[in-house]
Amino acid sequence: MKLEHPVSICGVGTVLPESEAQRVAAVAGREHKVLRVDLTREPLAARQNESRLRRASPLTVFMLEAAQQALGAAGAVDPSTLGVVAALHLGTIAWTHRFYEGVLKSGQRFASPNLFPETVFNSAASHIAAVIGVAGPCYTVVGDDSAWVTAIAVAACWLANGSAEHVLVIGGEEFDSLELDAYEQARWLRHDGRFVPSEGAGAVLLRRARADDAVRVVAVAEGFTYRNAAEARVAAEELFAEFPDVRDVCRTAEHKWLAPIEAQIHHDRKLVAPPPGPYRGEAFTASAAWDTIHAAGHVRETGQPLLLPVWGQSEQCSALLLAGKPLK
Amino acid sequence: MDKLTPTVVVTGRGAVTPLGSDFQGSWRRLVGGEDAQAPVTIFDVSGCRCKQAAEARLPDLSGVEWRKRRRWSRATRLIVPALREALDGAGLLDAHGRSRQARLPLSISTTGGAMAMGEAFLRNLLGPRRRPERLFNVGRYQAHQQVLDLHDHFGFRGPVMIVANACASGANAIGHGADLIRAGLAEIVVTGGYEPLTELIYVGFDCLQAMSTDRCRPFDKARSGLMLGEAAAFLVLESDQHARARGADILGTVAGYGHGTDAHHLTQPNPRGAVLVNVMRRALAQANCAASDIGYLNAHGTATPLNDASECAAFAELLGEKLGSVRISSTKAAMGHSLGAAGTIEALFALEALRTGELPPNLNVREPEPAVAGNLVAVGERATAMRATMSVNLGFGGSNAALVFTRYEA
Repeated sequence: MKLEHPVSICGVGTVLPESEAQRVAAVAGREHKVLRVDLTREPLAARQNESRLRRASPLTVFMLEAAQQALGAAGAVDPSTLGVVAALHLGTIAWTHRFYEGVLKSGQRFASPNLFPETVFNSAASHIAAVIGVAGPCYTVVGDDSAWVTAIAVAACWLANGSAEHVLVIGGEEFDSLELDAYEQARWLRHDGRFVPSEGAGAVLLRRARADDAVRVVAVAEGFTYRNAAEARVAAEELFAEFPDVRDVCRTAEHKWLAPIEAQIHHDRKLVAPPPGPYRGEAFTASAAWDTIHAAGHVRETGQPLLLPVWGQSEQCSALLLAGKPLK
Repeated sequence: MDKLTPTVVVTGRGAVTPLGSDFQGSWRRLVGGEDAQAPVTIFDVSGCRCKQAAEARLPDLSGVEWRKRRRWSRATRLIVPALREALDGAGLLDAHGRSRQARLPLSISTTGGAMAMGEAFLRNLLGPRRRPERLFNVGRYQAHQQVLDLHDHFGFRGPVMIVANACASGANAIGHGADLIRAGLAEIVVTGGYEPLTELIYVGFDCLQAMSTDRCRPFDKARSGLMLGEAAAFLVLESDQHARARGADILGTVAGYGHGTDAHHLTQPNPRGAVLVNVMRRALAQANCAASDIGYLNAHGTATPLNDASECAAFAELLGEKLGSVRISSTKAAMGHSLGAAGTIEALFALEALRTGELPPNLNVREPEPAVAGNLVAVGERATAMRATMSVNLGFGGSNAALVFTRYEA
């Protein structure tokens, strides 16, 4: 869907995992490689001293740091005209695991009233809004990786209808050992280490595009859903048929079970490689945010339109079309 | 609203609630003054302070293929009949019960998805005798899996927004659907909310001591907490042009939507309800209504001391000396608090009150809060000539939302 009012990215922020993987045991015992964020490093360590965040999950800390970076990069932004959209796949999975494990092991009577509110999906967005001073619109949208694209679409809608002048879109995930048991069930961990779970956050600050903006989001495509490889291939073909004239496409499915489909489907397009440097693992909405920031950098350098597919691990394939300055 | 902005109309609705397996059945029992409070039966609550909730009786799904049905979570078993009713009412189903539209955007809300499947996964992993054959179900707990169940069952696809803004989510889902239509980004959007009862959430509210061990008494001076419930509800929203072009029956108009964030505390609203006042004003401004146009207001009314006090302050601030002319009720004493579904089902009640003049009562009040003592709806009350009705919701995390409904005038 072409955006009648394109949006531009005026600030970005990232919280990335360490490049060296750890071995982590699943609840059921088997060990796997995982890429973790080091919460003892600055500025994350300092973020945890925020009074509002004293009980918050790591997810909240990651997302707040990414959000503050994006705001800092953009200069002065009035919080009274700022909206927030958080995109999550698993949400506060670590705190949810802790809370319910406590219920199972100690009994319902000893459930933690401190932990429970932090398990709610929108707790991270709420803390971020409180720290930044946002009183305007604030949504938490959930789904697989593609929730990131939904969040961008929500932000574009708010910017178009005047609900906000700037919108922070933040993708974030935290890792918990329980995930490994689930990924084993989904067979995502069987493929010779291709899929490595990770965590972190990414944020973009959006505003309505101006003529001199170097990078704009000009179209959003959503709703190409699937439950298996055959359906995913059909969905991807339908998605890319919406953009017949776009030559450059980001390669984003390399480490997912969807990689073979991506490899087959783009024979007539130019694939743009992931950013150089170590593989940062799969952190769902956070990975989608990192990919978006990378894609924006590519468009800024080349000036060429670039299609960024977000291959969801369990729901749908969505895409953002980024473009450079409009022709005068 | 300028002339080019489409009017957003409601053309279909459906619900499964603790009071009934369809919308009309639920409405009749609601306005008749019945409640669904009963002991919890779907999971063990022996270690909890509270033992009661409002459970829904799942509708008969024997017409659905067994192989498909056995994979469905309780969440999917709630949403399929509710969406079927809404799509059918809007004339969007063919003779085989499949969607006539191949692409149908969804704006939907929940807070826990099918959390019971996640609970079962952890119980299984930590239990003394692990049953690996049951572990695969974990992939079905996430909210987007219930959306895929809907896509599969009704044969449509399209953009999906799943909003998880705690107890205001249902109103946000409707508001966002209306936003998409007003912005010209969609002609038709299915909006809805759902929430099955689950142990994790029940125990969570229990440990916060937010639930009443007695009766749920919204706006009573001696209120002691909420009653959890479960439900699913859907509305079909369209631009009026689209609805009229296909000859759909129009039930009313989503005339205004306001939303904002109360950063006072993660679980407590601002005592003065300042953000709620702003949110209600925004919704009224978009609807081109004055506060005095509101004839009936469906309050969030959880029956927790802090929530109801904050709402009372906000209503007094918004309405001033006109407060006395507005009828107010919380329907949570009858239905329970269905979290991600609450905003949707309560919006449907506000719309139905506007259509029929019947008002849903505020049950279990013995000594009302003085601020709203003259406003609370009694069983059997009717209203005449209401120009507009409103539904408001407040959630964990400070999400506040308000919706205004008006009659459709071509």
